[in-house]
Amino acid sequence: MSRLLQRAGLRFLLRHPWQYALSVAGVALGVAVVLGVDIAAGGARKAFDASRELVVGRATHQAVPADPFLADEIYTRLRVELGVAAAAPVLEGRIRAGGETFSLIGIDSFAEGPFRDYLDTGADGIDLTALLTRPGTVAMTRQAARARGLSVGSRVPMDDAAAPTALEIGALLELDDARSRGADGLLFADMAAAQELLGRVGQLSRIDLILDADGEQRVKDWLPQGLELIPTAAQASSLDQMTRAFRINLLALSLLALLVGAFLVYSTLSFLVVRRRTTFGTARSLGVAPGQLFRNTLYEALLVGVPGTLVGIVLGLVLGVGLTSLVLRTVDDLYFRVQVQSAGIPPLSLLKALLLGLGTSLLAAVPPAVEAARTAPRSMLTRASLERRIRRQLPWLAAGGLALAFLGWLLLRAGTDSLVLSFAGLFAVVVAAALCTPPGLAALMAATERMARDGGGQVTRLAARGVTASLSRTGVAVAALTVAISTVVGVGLMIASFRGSVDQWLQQTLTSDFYFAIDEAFEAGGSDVDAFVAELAEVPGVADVTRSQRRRLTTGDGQVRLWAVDPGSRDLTITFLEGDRETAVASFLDGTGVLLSEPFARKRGLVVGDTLSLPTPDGPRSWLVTGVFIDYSSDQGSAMFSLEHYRSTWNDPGLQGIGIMAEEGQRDVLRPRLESFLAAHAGLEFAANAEIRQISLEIFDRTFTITRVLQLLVGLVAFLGMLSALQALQLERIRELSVLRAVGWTPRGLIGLILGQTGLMGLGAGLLALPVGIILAALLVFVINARSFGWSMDFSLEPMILGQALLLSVVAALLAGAWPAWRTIRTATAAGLRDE
Amino acid sequence: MSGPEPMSRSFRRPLLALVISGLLSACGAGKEPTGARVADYLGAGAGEGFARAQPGHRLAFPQDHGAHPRYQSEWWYFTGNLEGDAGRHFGFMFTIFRFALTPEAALRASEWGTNQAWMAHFAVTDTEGQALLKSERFARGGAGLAGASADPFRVWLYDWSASAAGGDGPFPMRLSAREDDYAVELDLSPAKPLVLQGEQGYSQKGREPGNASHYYAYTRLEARGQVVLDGEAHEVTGSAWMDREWSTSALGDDLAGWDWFALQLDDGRDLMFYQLRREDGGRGPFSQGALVAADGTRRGIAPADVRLKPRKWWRSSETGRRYPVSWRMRIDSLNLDLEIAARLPAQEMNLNVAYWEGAVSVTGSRGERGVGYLEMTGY
Repeated sequence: MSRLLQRAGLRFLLRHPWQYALSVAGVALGVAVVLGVDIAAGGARKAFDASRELVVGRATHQAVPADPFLADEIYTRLRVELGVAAAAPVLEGRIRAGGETFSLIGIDSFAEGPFRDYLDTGADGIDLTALLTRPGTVAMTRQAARARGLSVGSRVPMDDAAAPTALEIGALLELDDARSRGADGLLFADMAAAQELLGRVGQLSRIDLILDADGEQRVKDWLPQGLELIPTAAQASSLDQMTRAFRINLLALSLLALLVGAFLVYSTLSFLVVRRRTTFGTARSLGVAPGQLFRNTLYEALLVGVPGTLVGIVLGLVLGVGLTSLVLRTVDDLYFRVQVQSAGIPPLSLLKALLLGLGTSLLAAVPPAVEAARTAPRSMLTRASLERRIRRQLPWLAAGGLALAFLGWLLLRAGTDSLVLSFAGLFAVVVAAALCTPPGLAALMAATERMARDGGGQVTRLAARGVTASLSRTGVAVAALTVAISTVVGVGLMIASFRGSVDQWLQQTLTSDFYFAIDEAFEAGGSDVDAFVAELAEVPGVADVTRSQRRRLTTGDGQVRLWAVDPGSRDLTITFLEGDRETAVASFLDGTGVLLSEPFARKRGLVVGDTLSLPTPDGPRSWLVTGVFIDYSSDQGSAMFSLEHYRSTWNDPGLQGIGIMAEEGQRDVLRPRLESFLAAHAGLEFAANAEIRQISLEIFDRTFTITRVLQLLVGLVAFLGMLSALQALQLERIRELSVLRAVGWTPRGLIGLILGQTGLMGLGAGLLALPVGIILAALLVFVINARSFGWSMDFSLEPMILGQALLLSVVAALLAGAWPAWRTIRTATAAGLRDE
Repeated sequence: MSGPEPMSRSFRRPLLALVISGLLSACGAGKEPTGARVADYLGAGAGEGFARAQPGHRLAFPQDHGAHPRYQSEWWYFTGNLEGDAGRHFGFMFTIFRFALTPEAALRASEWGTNQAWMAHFAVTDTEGQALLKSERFARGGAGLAGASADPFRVWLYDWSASAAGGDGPFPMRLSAREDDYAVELDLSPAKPLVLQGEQGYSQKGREPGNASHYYAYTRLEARGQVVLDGEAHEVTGSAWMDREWSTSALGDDLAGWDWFALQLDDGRDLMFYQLRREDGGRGPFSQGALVAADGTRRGIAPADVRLKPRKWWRSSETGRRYPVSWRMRIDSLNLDLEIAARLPAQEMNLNVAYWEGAVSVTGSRGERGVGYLEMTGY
């Protein structure tokens, strides 16, 4: 008997190929999005790990200077006097060669063994003798060399004036893909060559160490002032933290897609069950046990779930490639340098997708399966009684939705420190909205009906009633559409708010007309920054010159970005969120206080009046926090000092940025004068403020490309859901429509009725989605973003986005209704009446 | 010491290779360069351009205690037998090697720039504990990380060093090496004067002239100090041996390895003998020996006079190699018939390159007793 049932189920699906295909597609898309995002996040993670391995290796600690560099004799003394066995010196810097900027890493290959493996690539092809004994010799990965048409012995002209005029490729490193991705822009050199190439003879960036507890104490006691011993675990976790928020955000979006996919499975299977009430009733009277019907429905869920999951996995792999490059580009833009390339496919991701696809299908099938098992023998529920029951359930759905919304609110409140809890709360709110959709729709339709009755619109009344009457079939689809549209609204509003805030911030911050960016090559090329600034100030047409330096300080709590600013003769162009502007600026100028960017203050829980302690060459020092300012330049945040104070504290005479204010009306003539400096110095870049603003916004938009792509996919899944549900509905209604046709409705009238009905559904979904979307946006802006990245922003309620969403909802519903309508009209004839 | 002579090709070249491969791998043991890789590293005509040992060249001190960077390889080799409280026996071996990667050093602005690579091996044999503790290190000859100076005498690689402890010349010498779980801290002073091996310090290694090394030794040093095992310090006294050699030389292709003996008899005589073994098991030409009498006078031993016979073999479970760990040595011209036995069979130095180097005891047929060190390669 059960086999008979199974075959009946399969045949039913095959007899409704569109219905079947749509639900398979729904599952497939959901699975694909989850898998694609998983692969992409894995790729980001791998790139991140590879970078970290290259940077940190197996070091347990790093000795880092508060100055930019430390004297290399400290390393010698550490090894020879203190006898620390596992220690390796590192010197890092940038050089420009062959028209490209590379990160150059100087190492002592004799000491590298315990730390990093990248030199251990077999004897073939690595001529360490050349690297050790020939000046100007560097190593790069084979992949990087191939990409640039280089090989061992190639010479790459250096773009700066420092010592040798060309780099020689002395060796190629054979790294696996993941590691070489992390190493594309890297050059490795022996310490001697690195010191010479970077113009840093006698200097190191840091010392890597492998220490146990005793060793740690010994080294700590021994280290001269100005050097700090930092466990790498702290750094690793701060690096991990850096991308964590980003990854969780991606995951949340992908789960949303799966959620919508689950709605789709649920709606299809409900449809299957409802359609076969008679069959089940007959089966029951023939002695089929309720349990068998239950299992049978689950089996049918697998008929959808298995092909859906498999197709989804294939799609997901394809999607993964595209998303990976999007994610890596974002990581590259925002966090650290990685090469954009596709990552491998982690088997665990495949398994996850498989389980998620099948599990979701089965889970979504449970309510319909219960429904099927409850079927009474022969005494079938009529459609009408079914709909009545659904309508009786509406208040309960609403109550459930409200309860869930309350739960979501609790989660959001509890999750101040936990992004996962915050997202769980967000999801609860989304699901609550989905639950409230059928009752909400019923209420909307009742209102419409009343209005139509008063206004005398018969078709509208019929349509509105039709929507309410078919809630068993359409409720889920409308809920899915509501969720999708509200996501569109929520994410759209969030991005718009964010973008608006960033743009406003850029305008306020970029007050100079032109900017020079300076890198290490400038000094290595023999130029002096202060002399350059003085020279610039003398250029006719220059009204004012501002200077800034950025620097990462490694501390026990991870890295701190210092931002040292000399605003010239103008006021600081930052906007304060906290603190009294006058006091803050005064303390900034006299060096008694520190100004923190918002993400920095949030991440460390610092407020005005607290103190911030930082390592300096003279030992740790504390500053009073006197202000918190808006800054979107990094989600890691920075601590701001006046340039003068920074220079005297950290002995760093360098500059990274110079801003130039033109005299009134001199902008255009000044530009070529300033650009003429580019030829005279190495390591200079030049841009006008508008260009920087544009580039910044481009990066911003690129960052959210992946969000928009995922948003689109969620919408697509929802659209499929609508299509599937409406088709199911119209199939059911052929008889009813045939009657209408028989009583004289024209095909055009029928189409109007059907489209009116679906349009109303879309409109209802859209209207319900608007408040939900606004709530979502508010949660994203004020809760999720603030907790993920530490940024606050102005909430802007763009009417455009709301209008578009409403339109999208109606159009999606109409589109989804058009095909079933057309089919129905074709079949809604006398033949339709003969159906039974 | 031992290493000196035969090290030329079958050992020294691998050593140079392993210095380089040692840079690459973690300082773990068990990795062994193959002949092919050695050849890859060195290529043909490896010795081209380097300085070569010349017959008739007179060694000069203290300068020659320091490094000779123009020669391809060089070492400061210390071994010794020590006794702790209640006669507990320890052996130690401490060697610092220097290799020139190129004949000439480029002129560099950075002090890290160098063409010199350094390596050190350090082992302690705990006879009672039946254990050999061993380790190796690598460093560049720049930035003060490793090097050798003649006056005041100091040879060092990181914190491992042998250095003059305040006297006039290299002695008294302080030898200091520390690992995580073992360490040696010894004061050495000569019981006999310096001995020039070979012909006035010129030791022929192959047929062509210049295929030779400069070689001198202190065959008996009084040692006093500490051996630390697992944090426990043992006060020790005993006798040590120091060998110094530098060369740019190569061994014949048909040689498989060597057996090198450095023996100190209770009657005050010291005996050095090495035999170069051919692939076919026979003894190669240019094997050498010398006896240093109690008063320090040296006398060469004709290799033909020395009959050597392995008595007992030991198989290393780590490398699967078999080493003869007990020997009978008969030198009729000296009226010696000695049994030489490892204090512990398991004294294989399984580092980047594997060889056997260990403390031995000596018993003679006429009641002679003594201690020594034995080095065996190519098994």
